Amino acid sequence: MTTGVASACPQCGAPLRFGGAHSLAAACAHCRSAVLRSGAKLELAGKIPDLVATDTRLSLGAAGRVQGRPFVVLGRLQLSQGEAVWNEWYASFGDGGWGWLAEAQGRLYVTRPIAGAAGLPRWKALHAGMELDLPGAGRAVVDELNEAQLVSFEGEIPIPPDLGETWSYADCTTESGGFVTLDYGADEPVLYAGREVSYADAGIPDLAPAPTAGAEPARALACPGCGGPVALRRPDARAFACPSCHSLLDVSQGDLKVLGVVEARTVPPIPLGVLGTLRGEPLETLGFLVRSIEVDGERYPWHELLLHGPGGYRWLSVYGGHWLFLRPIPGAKVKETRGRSARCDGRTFKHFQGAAARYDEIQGEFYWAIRAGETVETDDYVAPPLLLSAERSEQEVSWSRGEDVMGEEIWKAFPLPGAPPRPVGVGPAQPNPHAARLGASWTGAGVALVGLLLLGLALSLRAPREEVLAMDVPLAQGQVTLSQPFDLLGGPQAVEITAEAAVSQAWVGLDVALIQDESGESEAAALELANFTGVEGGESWSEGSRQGSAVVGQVHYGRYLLRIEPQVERGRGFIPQTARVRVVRGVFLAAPMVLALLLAGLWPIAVTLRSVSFERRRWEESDHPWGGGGGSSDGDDE
Amino acid sequence: MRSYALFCAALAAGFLTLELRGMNLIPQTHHVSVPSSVRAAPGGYRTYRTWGGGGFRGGK
Repeated sequence: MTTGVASACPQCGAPLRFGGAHSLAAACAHCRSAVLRSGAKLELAGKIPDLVATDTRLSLGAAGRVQGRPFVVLGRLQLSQGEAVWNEWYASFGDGGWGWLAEAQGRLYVTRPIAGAAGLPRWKALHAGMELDLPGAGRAVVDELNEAQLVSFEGEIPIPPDLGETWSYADCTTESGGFVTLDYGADEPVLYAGREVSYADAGIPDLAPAPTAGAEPARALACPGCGGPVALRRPDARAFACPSCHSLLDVSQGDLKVLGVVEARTVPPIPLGVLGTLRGEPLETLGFLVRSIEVDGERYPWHELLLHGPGGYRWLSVYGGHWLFLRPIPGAKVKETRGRSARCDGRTFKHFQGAAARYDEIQGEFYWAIRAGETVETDDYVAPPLLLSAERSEQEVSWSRGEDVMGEEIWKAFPLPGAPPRPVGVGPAQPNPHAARLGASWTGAGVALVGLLLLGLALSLRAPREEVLAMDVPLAQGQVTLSQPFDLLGGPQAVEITAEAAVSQAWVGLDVALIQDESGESEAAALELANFTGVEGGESWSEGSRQGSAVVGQVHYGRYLLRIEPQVERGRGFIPQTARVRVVRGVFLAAPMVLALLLAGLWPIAVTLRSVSFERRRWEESDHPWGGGGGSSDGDDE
Repeated sequence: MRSYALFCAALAAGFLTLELRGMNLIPQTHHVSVPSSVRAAPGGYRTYRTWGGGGFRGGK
């Protein structure tokens, strides 16, 4: 793994060791001289500035294992993007190769140079969010384009110690969770490929304990604006808003610089510095932002809290009492059709809103050089209860995935006194409570409808439908016909009276009455027999029916008579001499079954309507309101 | 869901009752009580004209 070449510093004579076969330079730990190795010769290459205090779990000599290959840390670069400083640790691997271990925002990335990678894109051809097909890495998405400057180093490094030199790089992620850097420091770009690994998987001890109440701040300084205390919770903090004078400070270097004065009128919903455990993650609140977007000339503000825990940085976003818990994700995990949809982890997210989001108020500390009034392009995609959020600048596209969280859960997680504000309207990623019941309601209704239909079929088949009377009735105006008495067995039951006559271009009315012979209680009805046809405008028409019927309900057992009195108007049409009249007992009634089917279908219809209404209210707040209209909902949430 | 199942069971029971008792939910007839004097008179049913709201007042 190492060559173990021991030497001495040409400046001070202190022991110096070139342990890595690929090491080109080393820093003298005694006099901070940079020593360049050229064959067997050692040359001084100037003084090295002190290292900037940063949050790291690695150290020189730290050993671990990545994908079965052991490594040992030989050196560290400190790189800067102007204000932000980060570490890249130089590691020598057991297979004779080397690589970088980079720490950023509490995460660890291991990359190794890909020798002979050809066809790499030119720097000027790249843009943030661009998809690339890289040799040895596959499909990758450019997350960040930036410049790095070597500001300091310690131990050994595999590159020339050109302090102050600036070069361009592109950080990319791959769909499979890989991490790729295209380094444009030399004439030809160099490809480094690897992946994010957990400290535990790399065999690196967890030196950073979970936040604990009352823990000492990582750095305690004084505000250059007011002299007030600047207690930074995180060593990698880049910006801090002084709670006393509201100066926004650049805290990335030892000397604090005032960048301006920021607004800080809003009280954070969770105080800064508070510890809690949300969704299994111990977290500490670090910063608070009021952000806003402008729609049709009106600004819509929302609040965001920056948190940190062992898993890195997290966000809590709240708008109208609706909370989202957001975690950063690699850009390559997202396949975006901008403004329409995005795919991530097998789910499709619909575009909800795109806007330029502005930082209006800043409180607490942040891991990047935040500026008040700065805007970034944002796009939100939803697949409740999840949300994907993209924030874009010219150099960077960062993605995060959020989950809808109830205010009560936030209050319990941190914990906070009282109760959370009641949500207003429908949140972008708020689960639709009706949608969850939709499938069950239709399935249940389907089972019920089938059951009722089968019951109806059984009753229909079981119905006796026995003809108890059939007679021909003379069709003469006012000539009353009285049937012979007939018996209706069984009951109570439905009895159907039907009449039929082959009328043509004519109408016949029949007043019928079913009379119980013993009591005289009767049920009377009017039947119509008619048939008219013609041609009008070249189209034939017809109306009327040659058959009429009426159903008498709840007819009890007994002896009955049927009285028929025709109403006949003889004219040009044809009216036969008689009509055929029948009485059938024990008929099946369709109305109760239809009513039962309608009532059984009400529940899924109601659930569907409520679900649609819920979604309509959700999308009212988006760029894609249903029906094309805008507006807002101010009703309380369900 | 349980409430809905109970509701559907009640619906089925109501449907069954209506069918077995021959109860027509959409009345197509009207009730007429024929006086006993009409019943007692020969040809009374033929000449009795007060059949309630039934009958036609004209037509096509």
